[in-house]
Amino acid sequence: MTAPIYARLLAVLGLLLLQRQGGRRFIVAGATPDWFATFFPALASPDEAIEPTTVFPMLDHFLDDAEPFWAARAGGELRSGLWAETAPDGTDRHFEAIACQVDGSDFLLVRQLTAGFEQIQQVYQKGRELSLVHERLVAEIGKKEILLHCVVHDMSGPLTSMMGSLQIAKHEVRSAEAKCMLDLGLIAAKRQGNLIDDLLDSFRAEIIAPEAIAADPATAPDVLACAGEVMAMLQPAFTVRGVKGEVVPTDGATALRVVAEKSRLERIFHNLLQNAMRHSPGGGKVAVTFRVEDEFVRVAIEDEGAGVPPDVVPQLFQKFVRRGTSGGKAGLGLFFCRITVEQWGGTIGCEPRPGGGTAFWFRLKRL
Amino acid sequence: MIQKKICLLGGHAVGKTSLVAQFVRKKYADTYHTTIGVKVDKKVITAGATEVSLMIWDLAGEDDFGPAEVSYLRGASGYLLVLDGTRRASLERALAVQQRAEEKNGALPFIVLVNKVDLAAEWELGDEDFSELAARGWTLHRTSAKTGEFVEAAFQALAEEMLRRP
Repeated sequence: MTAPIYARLLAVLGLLLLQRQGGRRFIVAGATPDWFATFFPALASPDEAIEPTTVFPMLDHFLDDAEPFWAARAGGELRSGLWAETAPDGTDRHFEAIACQVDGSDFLLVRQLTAGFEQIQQVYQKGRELSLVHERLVAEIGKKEILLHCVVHDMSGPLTSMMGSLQIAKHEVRSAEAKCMLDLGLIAAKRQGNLIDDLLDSFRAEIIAPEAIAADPATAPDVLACAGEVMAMLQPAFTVRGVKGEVVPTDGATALRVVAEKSRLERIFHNLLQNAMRHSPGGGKVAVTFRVEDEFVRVAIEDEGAGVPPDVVPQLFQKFVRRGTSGGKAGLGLFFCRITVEQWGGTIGCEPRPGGGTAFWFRLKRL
Repeated sequence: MIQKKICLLGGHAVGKTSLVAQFVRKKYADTYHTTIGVKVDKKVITAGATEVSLMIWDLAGEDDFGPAEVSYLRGASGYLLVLDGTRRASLERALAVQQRAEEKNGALPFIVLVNKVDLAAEWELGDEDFSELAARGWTLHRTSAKTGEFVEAAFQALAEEMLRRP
């Protein structure tokens, strides 16, 4: 009585137990599950040998693996992986086969997957749908970035004309008041020009593939000279704000050539120095320092401002994150610095300055 | 009649199952229903003077859940590599699957189907991509599982290509 009960139990669980007769012929061992008659309606007698591969072609593939598994007589089990079959009523049914051995006999269990499988399928379905949504969003963001780039690029042309006209007008007018107004206009236009440059540089750094930077000492930029040139360019702005700016060479070095591209290195200094200047108190100092660290040069731009709030530091170099309220920038300058320095194989960060303030630093490979 | 096994490979949601449904049952469902594991369908066609019973293995697409199971290609005479013209990511997936399929099973005849031509206005893939694939010596067809455009012809073309091989 025991064997038939176990056999019926397997059938109740949706398992078809087949005992191998040789080759790919099997006989049904025990009772058959409900789904069996749907797919094997022509079975005349329970003792009749069947070739399940004729109904389930997937088993043809699986038995190619199962036959050497049975021949090895190493025990254990071998699973087919899931497959689907269309029933005569048009619905899809899912199955899995398991090969195993008991007392020297080869068995094949075929299981129809039901409730538990539906949950698995829902997880896959939802996961793949979300993946499609994610793909669409990424593509959409990419398109919008390109559109933004086009708009910003188109803004730069009229701005150049406007600045030229303001310059000419400044030379033409005689009234001191009018000259002052034109100066203000020029400053505002220059600010807008810098913002456009930041946006275009960020786009270039992120969307366009990074160009190969030649590691040739003869043409590589000198980071010392570069810092000095940018500092000189910003000197009037420092003076207006009452902030002292200085470049402090290290160990008497006259040149430190690094893996970088000069115009973008200048923009990095420009962004970091302007950033430091905006956050410095009147009478404060911004210093650019250099330190050789093995095969790298570490450059630090130190200010005496209020420091960066600790909760802002982790996101500081992300897009559209601003250090504070001073200056009204778009939050792209530091993002551009990070993307660019990383493209050159360097690193960038910020830390509190001993004695107060902040030190923004970046490391570039030395040549 | 001879029997030939073919597989459909590619990333997820490119329309492999819909292509089979259109080819075998002339049916199309607008809802996405993901394939898990593999599903085998059959259809008899005539290629030249030969009746061919195609055993069509529709494999689950490659995605972040896991790679496509290219071992199902064992015993296959060829395959259809399916892309979704509206999704650039499907091209990268397809290239990865094709490479693995060839490493594991050797060079089998295959045809690239750029599916969803009914949405051609939304395609991210373009002539430059197709030229690159054609430069590899690959045969490409634009198909629509939805309208049936070139679906029958694609399976037919693969069958004829397989029969030409020794």
